[in-house]
Amino acid sequence: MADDPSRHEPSGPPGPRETRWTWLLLVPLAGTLIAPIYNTRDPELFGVPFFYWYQMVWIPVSVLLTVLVYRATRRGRRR
Amino acid sequence: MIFAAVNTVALAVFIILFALVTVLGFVASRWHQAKKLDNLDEWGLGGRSFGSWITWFLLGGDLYTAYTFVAVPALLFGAGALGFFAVPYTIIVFPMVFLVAPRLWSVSHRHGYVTPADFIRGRFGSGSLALVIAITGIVATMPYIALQLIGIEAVLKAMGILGHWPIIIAFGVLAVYTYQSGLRAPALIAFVKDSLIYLVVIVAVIYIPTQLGGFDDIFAAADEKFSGTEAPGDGVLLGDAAVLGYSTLAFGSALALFLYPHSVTGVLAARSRDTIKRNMAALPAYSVILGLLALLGYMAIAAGVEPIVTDGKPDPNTVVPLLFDEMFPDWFAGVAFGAIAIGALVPAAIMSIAAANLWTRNIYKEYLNRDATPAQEARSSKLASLVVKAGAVVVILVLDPQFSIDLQLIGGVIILQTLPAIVFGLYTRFFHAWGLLAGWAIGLAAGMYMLYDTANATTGKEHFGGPQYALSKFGFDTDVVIYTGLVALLVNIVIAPRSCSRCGRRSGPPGRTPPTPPTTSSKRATRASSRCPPPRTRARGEPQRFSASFANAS
Repeated sequence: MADDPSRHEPSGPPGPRETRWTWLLLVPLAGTLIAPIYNTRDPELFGVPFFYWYQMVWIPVSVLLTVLVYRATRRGRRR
Repeated sequence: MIFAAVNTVALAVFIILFALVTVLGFVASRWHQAKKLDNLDEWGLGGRSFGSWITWFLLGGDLYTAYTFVAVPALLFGAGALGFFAVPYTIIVFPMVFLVAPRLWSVSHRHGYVTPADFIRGRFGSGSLALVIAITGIVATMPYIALQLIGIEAVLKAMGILGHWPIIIAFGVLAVYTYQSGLRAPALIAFVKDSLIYLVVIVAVIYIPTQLGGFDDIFAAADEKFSGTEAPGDGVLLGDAAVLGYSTLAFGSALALFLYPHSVTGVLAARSRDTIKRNMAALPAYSVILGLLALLGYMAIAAGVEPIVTDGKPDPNTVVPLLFDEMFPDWFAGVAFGAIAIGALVPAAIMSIAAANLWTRNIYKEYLNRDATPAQEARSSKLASLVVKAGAVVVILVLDPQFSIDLQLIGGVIILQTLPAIVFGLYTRFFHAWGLLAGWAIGLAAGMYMLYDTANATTGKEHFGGPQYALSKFGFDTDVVIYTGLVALLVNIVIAPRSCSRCGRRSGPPGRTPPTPPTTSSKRATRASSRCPPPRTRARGEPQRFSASFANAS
């Protein structure tokens, strides 16, 4: 997380390319908010029921997706 | 006060850590190029200069509070799977805020807004709406600060110290260095807090399960406990009726989190839009810690921890400190206790600063001293931060702690009612100040009624029994529950645009000029005479007009 010099980025409306990428941010919502799909005990991982480790797995996935969207929509580089 | 069973080694380590952060708190005023601290941007927002790392620690310290670290495992200890909602909640909040926060930052940066209510004032030109947003923020934040005290108290109880005087000392010290250093104090202390928390949690989740025979045995113990209770809602998995409540609670809590003034303060203190975006990607690292911590609740069950009973009531918040006390050697228990207590100081400081800024910008400057100089603003905020902290201490000393917990429950529901004004206001001019005010009022009333109407069979409370409202009360034939705040927010959103067609499209009450008059007035005048546009929250051309008008206004 190094600081970059683009303190005054242009802040126009998002272009279509940016809007398309931001849909990815909905994926963690779908993955974690539909509780019936993961409200089960099996398969267990190291004795931890699926319910718990499945939701924990979404943390790195969500980070990955956010980083992707961040890199794809960063404006400082393009102008 | 009972000193008989005080854990001296743990207490000594605890006091050393506490002294360390006190020194840091005072040193902070000279940290990070503070020229002078006599204006609100410097005192209340750290000069709007925080880079990615500092913001990460600051927001992490701000959002993942000591109370969270104590209460979430306590909830799993008491109710099981439902308590784990904190994990999906803190996963989904960041992608959502990724979209909104940079926008709020840009507008605030350009216009010098310090609080969310400043934005409302500028956006809608309505002093009434801004006042309502400010008061909502203050009211929602106050009990949150009091809860941090409960977090410290739980630790002290586990160390064998009963009585209120240590809390008064702790908060007194905190108040003095926050007064002195402003937002820089919690930002610097957050480094210590988070390093300690990470250390303690990683050690705990590796060491404690090996002592308890692994996760198999831990979950088996939890299963046994919950199957032995009469309450239908608990268990290692969610009951069928609780599934919707779980998801909506996570979703609603995520929507609420960044509406809290202290979160906005953390966001506005960032140096750039990219700083915020990078942080939204990096902050879930704390969720890993939270998820692991949550499981400590089950470990406490397996270890046979019994919560400390004070005044005849068991205090579930003591289970994690007690687990540490039982499992760790004394000195490391002291480190763990220090981590939790310092974890309470960081958010308490930021929250009191945020509440103080709301007071200064949206009440003091708006109604009491319109010509306040920046130095007067800073002084007003500093004093207000002292009052807020003193208030929190008094609340804990005088009232039943349960009252603070109830208030915080209410706080989440009421802060959600500011969502339409703040979030929709960032994207569209479709909503009107009076409509938003009506939505706020009716949403609030609906939320309060539902909370009042919620009983809790487990604790035997008749009102304010929890954040989940039974759908059967709406006439559905089911046991399914839903998060109260989300229902209230829906009511709010349905109401908000309604008064639009009746009162035209003028921004602000008649006869009052908005402080940042958008230069698109000719465009708006033509639309004011026509009927309201069709409901569209984010039409294509909308953001452009928004940014253009704001850019021209400055």
